[in-house]
Amino acid sequence: MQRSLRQLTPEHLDIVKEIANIGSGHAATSLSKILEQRIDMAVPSVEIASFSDLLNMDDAETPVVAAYLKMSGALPGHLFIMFDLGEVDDLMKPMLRGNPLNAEELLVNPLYSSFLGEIGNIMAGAYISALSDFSGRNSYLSPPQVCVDMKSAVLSEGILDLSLYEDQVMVINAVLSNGETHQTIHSAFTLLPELSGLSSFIELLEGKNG
Amino acid sequence: MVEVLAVGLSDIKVARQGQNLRSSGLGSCVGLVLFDSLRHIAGMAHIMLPDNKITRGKAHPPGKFANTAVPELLKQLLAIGAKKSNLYAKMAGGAEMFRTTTGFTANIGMRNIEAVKAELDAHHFELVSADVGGNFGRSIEFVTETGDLRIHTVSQGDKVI
Repeated sequence: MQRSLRQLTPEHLDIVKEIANIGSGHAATSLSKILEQRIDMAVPSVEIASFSDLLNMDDAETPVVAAYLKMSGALPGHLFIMFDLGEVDDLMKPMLRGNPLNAEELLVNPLYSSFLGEIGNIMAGAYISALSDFSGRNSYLSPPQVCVDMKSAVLSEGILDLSLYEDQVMVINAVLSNGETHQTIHSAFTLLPELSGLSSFIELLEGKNG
Repeated sequence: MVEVLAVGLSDIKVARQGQNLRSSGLGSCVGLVLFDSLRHIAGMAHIMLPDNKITRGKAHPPGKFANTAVPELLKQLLAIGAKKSNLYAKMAGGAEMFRTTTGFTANIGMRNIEAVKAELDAHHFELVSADVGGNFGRSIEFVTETGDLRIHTVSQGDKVI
């Protein structure tokens, strides 16, 4: 039978949310260390969105900072971790030492992009290890690639192959906040599983739910 | 007052004088415009992939693939009064946003550009201008009144072709 994200029930999504929650906890701990400040992460929300919701015209042009990682192993697919450009300042404060940040700098300064790649790596790694623990099957991540560009231009890369059999994606929205300043940093974690990964993912959730 | 028609992923839309056509956030996708400047009629396709031969059963909109988008765009333009002999093409997009994409999406931006060019040749359409490739996204708006294609980017400035 053709598998689709549409088949996921609210109970399935609760399981995903729980996995994401564990992942967020790990990610917050790791980020606190690298950023040398307390980072809290709120309980993430999980939603299934259509491509047209994901790439809606209103914010298609919004500049985002994105880390892209390719997933392989038990759950092959594409992962995008995106931050609002305007909020990345806060995330990078320990590196910037008071200097303001702009998009050009993020693009040309390899130190900044590798730093953002590492943030993406930590967050993705935390979620994926939570998922691997839960499923007992390992997934692996490619090194991150960082890109600053329009949201739609970035995300459409991940849906090219997916769009041949699926028209929906899973989005995990996480809100990071600085424990001292209470500044919030929104991040969206978009998971685009390949067809083979999608089947095993849904079977896994059904197994745990049954 | 000019009305702006949004051309989303895999869409094809046509416009008359007083209407502009717009595609936001093109990455490896190609925004193709065919226009009849005498009659101020234009059409835009937001093409994602080169060829529909890779599909597996599921029905797809014609605007999604270069080889199905061009004939459909032509059909719709003729239906609202364009003359084929007076249609010219402009296009933008076809970037490589990331280097790691493998499998059939490898070099997809370049392959989209080539596929669109091949289709235009097959239909004997002249490509009057293009802004393609690179590693950055583009938003485009075609001004039906003047035949200008306006291009906006985050980091590479704006231009008109």
